[in-house]
Amino acid sequence: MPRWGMVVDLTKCTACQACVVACQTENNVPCVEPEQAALGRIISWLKVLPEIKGAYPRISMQLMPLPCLHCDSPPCIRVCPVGATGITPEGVVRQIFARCIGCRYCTNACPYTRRMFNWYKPNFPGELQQALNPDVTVRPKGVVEKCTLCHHRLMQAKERARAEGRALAEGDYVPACVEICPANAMYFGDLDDPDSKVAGLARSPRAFRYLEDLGTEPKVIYLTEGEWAGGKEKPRQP
Amino acid sequence: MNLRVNRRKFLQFAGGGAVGVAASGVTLQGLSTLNAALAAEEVQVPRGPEGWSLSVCSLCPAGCGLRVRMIGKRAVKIQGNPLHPVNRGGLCPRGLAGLQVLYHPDRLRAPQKNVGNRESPRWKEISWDEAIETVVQRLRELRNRNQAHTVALVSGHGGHLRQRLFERFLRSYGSPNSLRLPSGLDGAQAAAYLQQGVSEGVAYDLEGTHYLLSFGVNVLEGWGSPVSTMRAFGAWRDSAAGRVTKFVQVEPRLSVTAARADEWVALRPGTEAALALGIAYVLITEGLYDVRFVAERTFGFEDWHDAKGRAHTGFRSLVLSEYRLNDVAAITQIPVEIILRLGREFGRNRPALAIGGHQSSTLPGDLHASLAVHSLNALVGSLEVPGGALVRAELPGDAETGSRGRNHLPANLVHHDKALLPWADLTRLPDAILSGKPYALQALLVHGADPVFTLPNGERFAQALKRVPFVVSFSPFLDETSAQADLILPDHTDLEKWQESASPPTFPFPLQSISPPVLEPVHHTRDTVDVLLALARTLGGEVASALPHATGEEFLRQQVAEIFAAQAGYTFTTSLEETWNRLSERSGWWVPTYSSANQLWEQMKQGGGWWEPTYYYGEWNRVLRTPSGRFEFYSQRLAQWVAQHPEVAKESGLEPGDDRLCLPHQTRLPDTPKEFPLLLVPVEILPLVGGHGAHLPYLQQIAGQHVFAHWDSWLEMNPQTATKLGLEDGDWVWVESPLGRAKVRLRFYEGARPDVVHMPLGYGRTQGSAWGRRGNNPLRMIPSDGQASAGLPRGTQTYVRVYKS
Repeated sequence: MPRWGMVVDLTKCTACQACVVACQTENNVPCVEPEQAALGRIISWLKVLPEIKGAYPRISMQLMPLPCLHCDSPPCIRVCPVGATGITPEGVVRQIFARCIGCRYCTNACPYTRRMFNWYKPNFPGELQQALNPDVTVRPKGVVEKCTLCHHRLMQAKERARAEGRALAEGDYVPACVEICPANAMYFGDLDDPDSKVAGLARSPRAFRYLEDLGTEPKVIYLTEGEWAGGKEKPRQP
Repeated sequence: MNLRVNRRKFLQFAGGGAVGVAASGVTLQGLSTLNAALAAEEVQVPRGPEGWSLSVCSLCPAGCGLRVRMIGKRAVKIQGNPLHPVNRGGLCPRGLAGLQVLYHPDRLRAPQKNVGNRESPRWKEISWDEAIETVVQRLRELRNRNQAHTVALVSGHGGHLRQRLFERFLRSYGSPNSLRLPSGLDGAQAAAYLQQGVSEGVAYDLEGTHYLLSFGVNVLEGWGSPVSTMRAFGAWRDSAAGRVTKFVQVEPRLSVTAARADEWVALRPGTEAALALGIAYVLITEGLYDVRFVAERTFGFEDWHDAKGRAHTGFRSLVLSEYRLNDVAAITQIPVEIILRLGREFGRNRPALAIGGHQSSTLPGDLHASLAVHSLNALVGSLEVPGGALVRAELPGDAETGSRGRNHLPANLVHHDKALLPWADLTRLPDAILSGKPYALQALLVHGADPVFTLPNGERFAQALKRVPFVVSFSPFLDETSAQADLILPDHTDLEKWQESASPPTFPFPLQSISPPVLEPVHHTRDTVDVLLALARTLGGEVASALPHATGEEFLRQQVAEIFAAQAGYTFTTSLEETWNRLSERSGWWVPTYSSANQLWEQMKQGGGWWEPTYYYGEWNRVLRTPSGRFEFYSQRLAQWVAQHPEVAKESGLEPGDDRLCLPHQTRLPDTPKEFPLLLVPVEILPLVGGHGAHLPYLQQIAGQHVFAHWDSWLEMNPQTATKLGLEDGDWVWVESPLGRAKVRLRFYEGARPDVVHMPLGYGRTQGSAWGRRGNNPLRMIPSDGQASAGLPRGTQTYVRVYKS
């Protein structure tokens, strides 16, 4: 049984936010009106979190793509009164939209603020409804939603593998955000497979887990920024 | 019993009675189960067979390859085409938001005729036949009156073959006035023209460079070809490959690019040239420059005498005498140690590449900054080497029109033989129209551009439009320019038409992508290519014989035949095969996968296009075409032009005949006026690059992420400055320049210099979709005079004061 996880290399990330929009288009995330956005009600399962330190000109800004971290020990699950959220055997923290009663305990419990409440009826005016992905439910008003690691893609990948009579291979299943990254800064795979790319990167001395002292055991692992090595020759491209 | 309880009503009921429910022993768990059973999805998404089609993005000039997921006849997702050499499967947020363009509720659904007047337009839907007939009548009438030359076409940067068709149309009709929007690369292009004598596309081997020194270029925020640049950035920092490349960003503001760079050097605005020359000082005094390259391939480095025996100052003398490190530190406000270290790093980490100065995607920077920056490339021999500055070879078939800027027809409205740069500068069009010289413009066609909104002098453009008797727009949306038109013939959006694009800006290889339409048009729009072909057919005569094609597809096929005839290059393949192809091509083998033009056409449709993945280094006759045949630190073309324009010396505060006029130098900085103490520098952000995209909610939601601003303009100000002015984060403030004022929300931003404030470009539309009509356009507060005489727009900053509203 795989344990799905993601590695984000903060050195390679350009903070372009392609992952944010890729996620929204893949998962039928509705856009809210400007007035609603001003109340902090934009829904983005994945957002880029800026952190600015210092004063001009000795200042740095870190920009960190932050999806649901799919914690192995998720605080959000424990508080759900109705069992609308849980963790699958493959480690995906899921949300069963239809079971959610909208109490928002989980949105408060998540230390990463990666659960969002649908304050409004999903709004896809005019022809915009045409662009909806049939593989993903459109969430009604009044439920909490979150990153599913593009679970529908996992289902499809499994079906395809089964049809071809083989086991799921690395790269068969990749969430939309990882797939689109122009700088190839995101990696995805089975953390329990010691030979997988993500497991290798997770062992890197640069690897850290965001707010890990909370004991959440996230399965999204970050690689801290490295520094310029300083003028070594690299093999020439032909 | 007919149980018709919808989910909302049920929850209202359940919520209202929660206490009762709990008391009566019904558990919340049970409630949820019941809820799940009752839940009816509010939006039903139809299913259908899945399919994938290729297309090309035209939301910026890069033209990334797209792969579109179809469910039945609907497009449901845009992804990157993994075979496309520009983006290799990646995509930026703009490209991803493409479906919001296609299915936008505010698209124009059919041709529109303005039945009111220009001041208060009233739009009436008309048929395509009527629309085309109206245009034909007007064009025929003008031609019959021998006024064909008074028609102009303004176009954006999308499409290459399409542009070829437009130009062919105009030329055969009899007009020389094909004009394009300025590009952010115009500054670098100007340097390449004056110092290398080339007007083909400037290109950089970004991935191969070991040291990238960017002078205010928004490298990661939309400059050049955004996705391929980001891919190079990812490659520099791949831990497996070893981190060799250092990326240094020099600019006054901590932009996203600066934050992501290995080092950010904050300098005083407008002093990029001085810093570049300071670095040149280090290279020269420490012997870190490429002595051989400078001796063999450059002109004007040492002091020299002209044919008349007059002594001239060389680049070396100028730098050594005027750009000593203490002087440069005083001008740029960068400590001497940092300049010294930058110079040493730049000299020792080859290939090193310098780009700039200060460019955004639409607005070029100061000419002399570009000359100074490009001189650094020559100093370290980074011309025509892997990892250096290159000149892209032209595409087969380009000779027909000449690339942009080589206009053989005389009497262009804004461009004449005496201009410094060989391309027509659109920002001069308003003055030409308003003065009626050299002749009055009778008709203007606008395609893929919104100059009233995006040009620095857009307001003047709007005034000028009122003087043009007939204005036709091909915009799929109502925008600032089309709102002033008499007729709008809405173009298809990307996925509805034949898409094509050539090599994007800064991309070193000739390339042509082609993709058929992905789906049926959503509205009664028409591909502008087909409209022009219809116009040509109806106009008859020379135009009809120049454009005999029945469809746009036929035209594209013919252009592809030219690529086939060139007998080079490959159709898009995986990067593995690309490496192999490159190796064999370098050793003289060309093994194409096609043997006829038809086969090439089919393969291009299948993979997305064709390209020539090999760059031939060191074709000096092609890349150094100056009068001296060398890289000119002292530009002789500039010298000739300065001699004819004595006013330039006066503007620069130099004596006529001063050699500095033709050598890179730091121009004089304006004084800060007392009543307007803050400098306003507009910034370009990736989601709204080129001023477009504000009508797309996906982009509005991510536009100001670094200051938590969404759906509106913001003013970035250093908290120290704000405290002095008594302003708080989130206050509504007035920003006032001599030209006008705007009300904006203030955002504290530590990355802003204390004496500078910033506003994002792309906001402040007054026409079209309500989603886009938000915020303020900072360009409206900025005077746009500047170096117009040199053929480059300037004026992208101004002094302002800020006070509470």
